[in-house]
Amino acid sequence: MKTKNNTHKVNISESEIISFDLYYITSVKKKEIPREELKVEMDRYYGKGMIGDFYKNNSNIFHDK
Amino acid sequence: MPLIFSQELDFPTNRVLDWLSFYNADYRKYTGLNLKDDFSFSDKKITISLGGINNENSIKIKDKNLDNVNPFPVWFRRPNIVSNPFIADFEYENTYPENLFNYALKQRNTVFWNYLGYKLESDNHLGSFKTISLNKPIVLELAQKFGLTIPSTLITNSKDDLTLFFETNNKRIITKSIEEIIPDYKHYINNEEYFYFYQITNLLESLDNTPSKFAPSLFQEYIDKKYEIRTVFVDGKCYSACIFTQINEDTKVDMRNRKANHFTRYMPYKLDSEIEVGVLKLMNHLELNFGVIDFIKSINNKYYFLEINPVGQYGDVSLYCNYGLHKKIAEFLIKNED
Amino acid sequence: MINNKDHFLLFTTCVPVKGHESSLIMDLDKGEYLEIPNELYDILVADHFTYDIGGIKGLFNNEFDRGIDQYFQFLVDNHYGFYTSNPSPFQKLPMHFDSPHKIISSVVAINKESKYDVRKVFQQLDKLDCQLLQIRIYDNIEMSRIINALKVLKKSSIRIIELYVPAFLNLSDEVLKNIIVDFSRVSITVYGAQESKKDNLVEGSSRIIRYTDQKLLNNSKEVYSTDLFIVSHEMFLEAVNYNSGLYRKVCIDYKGNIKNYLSHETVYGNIEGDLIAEIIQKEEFKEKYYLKNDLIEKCKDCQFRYMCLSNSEIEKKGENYHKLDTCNYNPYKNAWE
Repeated sequence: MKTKNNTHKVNISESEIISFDLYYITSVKKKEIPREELKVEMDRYYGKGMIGDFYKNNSNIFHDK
Repeated sequence: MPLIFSQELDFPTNRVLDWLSFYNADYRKYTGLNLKDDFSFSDKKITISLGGINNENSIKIKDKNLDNVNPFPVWFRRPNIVSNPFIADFEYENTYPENLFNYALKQRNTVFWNYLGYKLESDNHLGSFKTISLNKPIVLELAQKFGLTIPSTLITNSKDDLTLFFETNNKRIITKSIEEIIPDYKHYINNEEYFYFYQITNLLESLDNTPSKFAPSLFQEYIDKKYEIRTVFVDGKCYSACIFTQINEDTKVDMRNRKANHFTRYMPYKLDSEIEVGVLKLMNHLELNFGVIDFIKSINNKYYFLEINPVGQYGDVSLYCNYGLHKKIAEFLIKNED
Repeated sequence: MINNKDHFLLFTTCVPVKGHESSLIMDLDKGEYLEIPNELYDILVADHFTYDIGGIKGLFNNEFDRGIDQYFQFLVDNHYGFYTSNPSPFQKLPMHFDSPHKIISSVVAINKESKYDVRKVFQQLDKLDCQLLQIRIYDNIEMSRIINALKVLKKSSIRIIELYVPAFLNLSDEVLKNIIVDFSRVSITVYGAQESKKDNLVEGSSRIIRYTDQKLLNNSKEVYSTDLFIVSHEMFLEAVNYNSGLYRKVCIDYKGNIKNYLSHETVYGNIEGDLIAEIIQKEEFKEKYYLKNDLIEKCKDCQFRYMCLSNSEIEKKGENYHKLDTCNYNPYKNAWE
């Protein structure tokens, strides 16, 4: 079976009750990016929001190369 | 006061809430995860009365009459996440099999939830609680009916008919799930590493070693793309972006296949007006005023309608094309308020 | 091969910016820029929707045909632009900038003379949806005052709190660690340290304490450097429309005075008697919001003007605006001096 996606599939046996696309469940090995600590409870959102990231700086006063 | 059905962390929801607070609007968000939510019922009373000689209909949550608050604007951002309003763990000890029992519970919850959603849909709402049940073949057929071109599509359980379809489409077809039933799933190997299972559109260039028996499944001709068009439909208007998926080898078949650090070029785009009219008719027919719609522009300069995602992400289109959609959605939610 | 009947379009997120001596293309998606000669800038900003490549060549009297072919091909090969036979469905980038944050950034200064209520400042900033907060501690002050005040920001929607503390406060690792563990938004810089370094105090966390041997004084000036430039979609749009340092910024100096920025002389009120929300409504206060780099002498001729952050006071001399604190870059010589 040739597909453009270089991922391994789940082993599903052939059956007339399983639709064709289900043979193409793909899986990739990934590494968790430790972002959980950036998700923080915020009143405004009745849930979580992201911290630590914004499109600009505040004021550049220190400059360590 | 807008009500928003979403999940614990959804970036577009948070950006819209930023705008609602900018306009000093009061709002509530329901995630279904929190017992404090009015729409989580494990610990609070919900009573719906209908009919009788006096026709006194009412919905009361915690003795608070919902009809008094209605009509309030509702944004069904991710309503399917909340579709189980009962949070409970219980010990199952019974002769009736547990999986069948759970299935029965889920079905009942869904009917109850859909009814609540139906009641909550006032004049001023965005998205829909019905979104879980968009049926792909129906949507494709309707799109065609309203003048949009769809890729040549086959639904079959016959390998012979599939083979014929494959041969007549230059031996390049794609398999697509008929319904988004496989939820993305992470299988952890250890604390950090996991296998991520998901379904993407696959290109088939050979039918060798493919299953010979299968249930009715959906196949489409492979269309050589010039680019993809993603249209965010908000309250009758199309905000389109041309996505240059063909620049990267990985995203040629399915845009989701992009590597984490790869960027994709987006550009503000205007669909032909006949296509926008088709979209409008289709969305009106489906009673949807929000959806993320995917098109392909083929190398022969034809537009093909692919699908509607009624709870799709629109943040990328909004940011890269500077459409300001979070603000527009917030304004939509508060426009009819006193 | 280049077809003169095709149109060449830059992606809308690849923006040509002209400087006096040199130009560049800001790649907002990649967060990078590409230096280009001014001649190419002029070619790139011609009306490519109307003119095909042949037409563009004609606009320049066919003097640069070979160069145009080469540059366009280079830009297409490197994904800055593309060829199309029909440019009409492609649209220009809408250039407005809209922010839902009533206050975007704030710098708060505290020294041993400071008597004002820091808590009150934080509460007001939180209410105004401030996203960036910088707290500068100049002297030997009681840290518990700051730590207590920070508690009001525990569930706020603020994104980044930078806490600058002097090394001579001799805060122990334990105290520093407790602050960043208790307050997830806070990053600490200890200034005036013996050496510049980064310390990972919390195991299994990416949070660090930064030490710098640089000093921080009441009159410390901002730093300008190419590695501090910010190339991003929002920064670009903000800088095209507003002063990206001062737009929706409010600062509180050590006396509790409300200012556009700490180093500015003009005081619009004091935290003890005025509400920030009211001060920022004043037209005089907002005036600096609109003094974008395009309007300021020197900056308006600089190709870095939409990626450079400056909170400098701006002076009007005659009809022209000037920044009081400026950088060492000379756009007329294309050189850092």
